[in-house]
Amino acid sequence: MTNAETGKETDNKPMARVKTPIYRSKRMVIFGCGIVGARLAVKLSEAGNLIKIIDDNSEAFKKLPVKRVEATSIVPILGDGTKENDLRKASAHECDVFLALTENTTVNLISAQIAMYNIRVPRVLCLVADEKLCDIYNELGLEVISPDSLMVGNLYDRVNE
Amino acid sequence: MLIALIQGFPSDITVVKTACNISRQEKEKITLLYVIEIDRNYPVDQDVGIETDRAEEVLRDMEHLCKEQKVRLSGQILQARFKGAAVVSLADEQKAHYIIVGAEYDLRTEVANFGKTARYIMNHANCDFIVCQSSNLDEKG
Repeated sequence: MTNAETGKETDNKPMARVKTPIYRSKRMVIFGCGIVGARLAVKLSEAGNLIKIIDDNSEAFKKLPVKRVEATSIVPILGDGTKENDLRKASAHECDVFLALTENTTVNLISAQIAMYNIRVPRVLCLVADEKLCDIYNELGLEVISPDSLMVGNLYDRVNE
Repeated sequence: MLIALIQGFPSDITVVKTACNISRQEKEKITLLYVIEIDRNYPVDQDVGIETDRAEEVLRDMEHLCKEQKVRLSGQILQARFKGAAVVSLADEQKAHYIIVGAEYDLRTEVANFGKTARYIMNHANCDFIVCQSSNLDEKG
């Protein structure tokens, strides 16, 4: 085969393609801008994800770094996460992961179930303070995070280091 | 003691199954509760035959489902102005450890959601409160 412009013969071998890992930032919605929610939002946005954080208390958004909010890598949304309309305002219907991280387990559970069954978010995580209820919530099909079991796991790992 | 609120919605089956799971684990007795809401224009003990028949039918179905699970249970029908307040006061009276409530199903919009009953119980209950929604949205009452 010859090159039309240069007239020189070209190699028939196909161009070697450089395989780079494809990274797509995830869209995440966090319900609850408490200490856990705010810190996680910052950490996830630093990792390149797009975060929307919903809370019914505007004062709670003061925990978020102003620069990240101005750069819209974290978008605070004032609303009630136990209401489907408010979750849709936070674009929960377009997100990849939904995290219910308020201090109230029942509120988390209501919100997580709306996200899971009504809005059909692909992945839903729910913070549950009472460990004895974790099995019950797991049976309801929710992915549950218990602070107690996380702490036990962490301490166990440290002891065994 | 645990109180499972039966409302004639698709989520009732999930409520009963959850109640049975807890009952087996914690050796608690289940009270299946159906509350008939009476409008303020009528006395609260107004005879509402059709509603009572429906409540009994729904409770019978749920009791049948529970019997397969081999748990201790009783059924109760209450007439009240508001479901949420009735559930909370019964839970206080019977010193219940759990209240289990399902999502309400809107026949008009065909959407299951947590309505004012769940919100009231969440804010006023003095025991553990579990809300559950049917995972199978095709299960319609």
